Amino acid sequence: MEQELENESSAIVEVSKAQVEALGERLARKLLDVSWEEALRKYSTGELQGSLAEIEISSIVHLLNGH
Amino acid sequence: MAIEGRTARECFDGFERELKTFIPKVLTAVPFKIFVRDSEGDLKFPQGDDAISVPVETKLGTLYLYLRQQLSAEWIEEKNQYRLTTKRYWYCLYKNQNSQELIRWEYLKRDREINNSACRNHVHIHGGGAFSLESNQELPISRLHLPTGWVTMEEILRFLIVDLGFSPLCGDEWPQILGASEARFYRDFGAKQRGKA
Repeated sequence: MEQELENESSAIVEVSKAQVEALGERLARKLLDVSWEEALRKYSTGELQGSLAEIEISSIVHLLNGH
Repeated sequence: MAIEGRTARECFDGFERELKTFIPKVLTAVPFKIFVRDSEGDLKFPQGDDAISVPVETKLGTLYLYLRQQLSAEWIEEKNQYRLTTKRYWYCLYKNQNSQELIRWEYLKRDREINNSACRNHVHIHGGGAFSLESNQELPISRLHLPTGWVTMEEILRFLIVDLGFSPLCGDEWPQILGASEARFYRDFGAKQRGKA
């Protein structure tokens, strides 16, 4: 994330909703070559189970929704 | 007493302090960061957009360790403050960076929608092998959610050191460092020890 509000002495990086959404779009394209909506569908139906893509999509969903 | 705070950020700050007591001393100098949005956190080794695994030299050669946790600072009404919880974790050991994992320890809190019926704490072991039954049916071990208890990052590091011959950065001090961190974990996250995660 290019515009992180990062304090160099801290391991905590605060990110905004817009930054998380943009990261989700990039990861969906990079890992699955699909849109975020399609990545979310694949995640929701369990198609990504056991893959790194599942972890990434799950983590985006977690940051966005707390799920 | 759990990691609690008047704000979500205080909880994450407390967890960050705990991580700094053992990750950079035992495992790696690679930055291990918590990305926080409001009361949710994502712990990973970041590199650009990616979460990377870190190389670990073992008696089997170079392997790659991936540590990831989803965290939440939950508002506890009766205590009038936030409490940090782990919603999900993945600890994976890879033969090569970005390849299929050899071992994956995983935890999924019961309130999640995906794969909710499997053992919430489990390990997947890859690399071949199956239970062979007399009926000629085989059950690949890699497809099983083998039950575990709560797995701490400290336990993963112990496994790397004791079983795989990883040399900790701190040398012979590792038992004290990991032991002290585990003791704090089971004090601060007491519910995990009692299986109430």
